Amino acid sequence: MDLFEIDDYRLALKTRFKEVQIRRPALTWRRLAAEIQVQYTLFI
Amino acid sequence: MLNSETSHLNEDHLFLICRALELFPEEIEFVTLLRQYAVAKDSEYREHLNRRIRELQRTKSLSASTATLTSNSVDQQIRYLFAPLCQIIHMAMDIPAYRKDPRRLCSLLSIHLTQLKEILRILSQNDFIELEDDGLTPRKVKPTKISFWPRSPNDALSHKYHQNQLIARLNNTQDKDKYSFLATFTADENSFLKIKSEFQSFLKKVERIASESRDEHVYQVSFDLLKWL
Repeated sequence: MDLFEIDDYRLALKTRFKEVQIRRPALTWRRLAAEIQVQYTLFI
Repeated sequence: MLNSETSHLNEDHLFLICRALELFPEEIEFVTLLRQYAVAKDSEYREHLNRRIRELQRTKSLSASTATLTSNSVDQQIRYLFAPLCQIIHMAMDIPAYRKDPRRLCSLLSIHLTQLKEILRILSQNDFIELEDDGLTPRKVKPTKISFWPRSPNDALSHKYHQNQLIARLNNTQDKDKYSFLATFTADENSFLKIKSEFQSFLKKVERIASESRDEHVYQVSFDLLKWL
C-alpha cells in the first residue's frame, strides 16, 4: 500500500510491518524491538 | 505506544523502526511529519503541519500520475518491460534467499552475471530496489508481490513479448511444477464477456492467495481467450 495515502504514523508503521512480515514470516514486533534494540513496550 | 492515543514514539525510535521496516527516505520524511502532527498541540502549528502533509500527498500523487510523461522514466519503464527476465528477477527480489544472494539467479535462469547486474540496474532505476555500491546486492526492495500484465493497453506489446518467454519456459518446466489446460468450445459474444469477467474475478483471488503466501518461489499465470471462428 502507498504510505502517502495514510494519515496516521502508527497505522503507516503497522501497514508496512504487515507487508514486511509477508516476506519475513518470522518477524514479530518483539523480534523487531530486539533487532533495533528498543524496548518491546514501545510497540504495545 | 503504537496502540496508545496519548503517548507517542520519539523521533529517534520512529526513525529506527522506519529503517528496520525498509521505508524509503521520502517515506520516512512523510511518516515523521505525520508523527509531528500527531504530537503537536498548538493549533496554528498543527494547521501548518497539516498543510505540509497534504502538499506532500498531492505532490506524491502528481508525481505518480505524471511519472510516465517524462522521457527518462518512459525510457526506464520500456527497459523494464522489455529486458528479458526483468519481471521474473523483480519478483525474485521478494524471496529472501535470492535477495540475499542474487548470484544464485544466474545459474537458475541461465544468464551471465553482467546480464543480472544490468537487470538489477533497471530495477533500481525504476525505483523497485535500492542497490549497494557493488551493483548486485539489494539494500532495499519495495514490496511488490504480484505484477499483472497488461496493466494498460500500452503494455499489450510487452505482454506478447513475455508470453513468448513464458511459452519457452513452459517447455522446460517439469510437469509437477506447472498446470496447463486447453479448452475449445462454442459460445456467443455474451458468454465471451462473462468468461472474461470470471477470469478477472479469478485474478483477484490469485492476488489474495499470493498476498497471504510466503515468498518462496516465482510463479507466472497466463490466460488467453480468443475467437477462432
